[in-house]
Amino acid sequence: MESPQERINRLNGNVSKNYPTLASPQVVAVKDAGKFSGKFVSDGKVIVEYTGSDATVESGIFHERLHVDEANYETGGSQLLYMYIHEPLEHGILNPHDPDIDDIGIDYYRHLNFPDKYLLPNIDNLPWGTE
Amino acid sequence: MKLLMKIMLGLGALILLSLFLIQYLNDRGESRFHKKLVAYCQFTEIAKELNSFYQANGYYLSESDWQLSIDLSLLNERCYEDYSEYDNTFYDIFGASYKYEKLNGTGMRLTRVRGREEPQNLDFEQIMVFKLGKRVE
Repeated sequence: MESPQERINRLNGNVSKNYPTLASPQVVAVKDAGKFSGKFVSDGKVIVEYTGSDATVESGIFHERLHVDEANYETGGSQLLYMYIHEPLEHGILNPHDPDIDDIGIDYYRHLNFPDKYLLPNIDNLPWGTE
Repeated sequence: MKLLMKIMLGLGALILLSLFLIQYLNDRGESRFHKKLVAYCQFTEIAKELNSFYQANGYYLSESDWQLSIDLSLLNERCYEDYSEYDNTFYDIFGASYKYEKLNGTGMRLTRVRGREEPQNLDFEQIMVFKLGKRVE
C-alpha cells in the first residue's frame, strides 16, 4: 500500500520527468493544507495535499515547484524575499501572486486529463526563464 | 528621545502591518488558484464520468436523468472539495451547475453555467464536447 508521502514522491517524479530542469524542492505530503492545495513554505520546501485525484495532486506539485523555480531565479531561492518583496513588486501589492503560474498550473491539469488534445505546457518562455 | 522612540515604534508597527497584509494577499492568491483548480476538476470529472458511460455502454446517458445516474460520492474524492447537490442538480465550488446535451446519439456536450465568478476570470473552458468517447472540443 502506497503511503501519502510515497504517492507525492511518485507524482513529483512525473513532474520531474516532464520538466527535468524545473526546480526540485523537498515536497512534503500533508493531509490538509487548509484553503490551499499546496504552499511554498520555506526555502527549498513546499507542502502539498495528498488527497484528490492524481491529476489534481500532480498539478498542485507542479504549481508549487514553479513558485520555487521563480524564487530560485529572482531571489536566490529565498522564500521570504520572494513572497514579501518580489511578488508584491512584480505583480502589485493588491495581488502579490504570479498569474502565469496559475495559468500554467491549470494548463498542466488540462494536459493530464486530455493528453491527446492538449500538449504539455511549454515552460521555456516563462518570464523569469528556468534554471 | 520620546519622539524618536514613538517614530521607531510607529515605523515598526507599519512594517509589521505591511508584512501581514502581503501575507494575507499572497495567501488569497494561492487560495484562488486552489479554487480554480477545484472548479476545473469538478467540471472535468463530471464530463469524464459522462463519457465513461459511453465507453462502457456504447451510448450516452439520456438528458432527462443524467444527474440521477451519476454517483457523486465517487467523484467527490477527486477534487479536494465536494460538489453541492440540491434537487438533483449538481453545483461546483463557485455555485455553477452543468447543462448536459446529447449530440445525435454519438456525442455529448457539457456546459458549465451560471457560477458566481465570470468565466473569463477562471482561465478554463466552459464547454466540453465528446464524440464517440473522445474529447473534440
